Amino acid sequence: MTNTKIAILVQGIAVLAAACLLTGWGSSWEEMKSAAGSVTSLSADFVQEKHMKILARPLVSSGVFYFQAPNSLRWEYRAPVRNVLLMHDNRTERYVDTGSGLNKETGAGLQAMQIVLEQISQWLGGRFDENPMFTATLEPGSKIVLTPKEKSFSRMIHHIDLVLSERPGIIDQVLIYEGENSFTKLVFKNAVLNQPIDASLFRKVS
Amino acid sequence: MKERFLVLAGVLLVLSCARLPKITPVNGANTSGPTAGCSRIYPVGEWQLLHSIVADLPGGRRTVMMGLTVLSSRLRSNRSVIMSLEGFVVFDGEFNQGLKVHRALPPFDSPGFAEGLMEDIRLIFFKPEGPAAECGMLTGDAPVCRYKNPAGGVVDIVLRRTGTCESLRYDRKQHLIRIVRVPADARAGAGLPQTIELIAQGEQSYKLVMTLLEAVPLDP
Repeated sequence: MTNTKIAILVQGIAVLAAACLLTGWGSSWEEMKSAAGSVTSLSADFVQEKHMKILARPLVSSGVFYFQAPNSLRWEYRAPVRNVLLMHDNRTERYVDTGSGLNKETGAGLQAMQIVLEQISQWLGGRFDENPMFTATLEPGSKIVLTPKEKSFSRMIHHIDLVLSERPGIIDQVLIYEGENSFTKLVFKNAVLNQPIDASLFRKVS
Repeated sequence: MKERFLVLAGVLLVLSCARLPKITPVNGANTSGPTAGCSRIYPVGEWQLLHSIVADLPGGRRTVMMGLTVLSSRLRSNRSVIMSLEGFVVFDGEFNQGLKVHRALPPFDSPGFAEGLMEDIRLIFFKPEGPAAECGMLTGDAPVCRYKNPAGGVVDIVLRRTGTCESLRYDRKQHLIRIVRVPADARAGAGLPQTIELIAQGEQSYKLVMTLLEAVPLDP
């Protein structure tokens, strides 16, 4: 699994979390699938904290994302390094600010992105339990735990916690554990559900 | 992309011919005196540093990563982490009198990668140990001090006329294998270099441009 694939997977997880943000939770996989079916579009700001034992304070990133069903996505970090992932019409592109504006990233990884895109579609359809890469478990305390099925993959991501709020459909935290000493926390805000999104956001980087 | 690769290849071709230059002694030039102005490029104390890293790799590939370094200049120790832009850790290693790798995912688990990375990081962030073996001038009136490198070969610290400081590492056969370049005006708020450029040549040629994103002092 390439680094890029992992990165996009993490972004996919974030989108999953955002999708869960407003769709209303049920108490079974079937109810979740049903609730997720009502999502046609979604946008939100996000703040990401990277926690490691060695850090005096966490590393903070922030940005915004847009999703349009069935599979258009714009995932944009605005700080500290601006970079944008665009998925639209079965094409996936990534742009990174290398000091001279946003430049298209070349090289490996796009095929991997395509694979992950299929997973994102699954998640946004509420099909947690059909994911080929993770085993999903509903736990007490309104928590979904995603555990990698493949041992080689678990070296990279140990598990993922989606902690749901007491309010139906609201998720409090997404925690991605890479190991004992490192995890990433994603928090979403200003979420907007099922409102029209300009299609150019998924085709153009600026 | 092709142009960038050609430029990098050209630079590396020129560098591949570079051998250890002769130093012209200067009256009154003692250990490190001529290049004392380059002390500014090294962090003093304990720091948590976060850089974005633009890496130009063989074949014209360019990738952007994040580099986290927690270091102590007094202990000459460092913990260094390479992350994707999304914060996913692909390499985590530590040097404190010896090398310890905490995490290394492909392709960062290849033989020799951790050792090479740590040597690069230590060349960038730590002033060469001990007194200079020789100081003087290079052709072109550039003050230079030469240090023996514990890893083998020597390291030249050169202060260019423009104010740019360079750390030039030569291997045992006196081939130039690394250039670390810090422009004179590249100062961040914490007094640390805002940008650092590293050019590597040899079996694995690459170029890194590091931009300081965050500097957190860890001293009590």
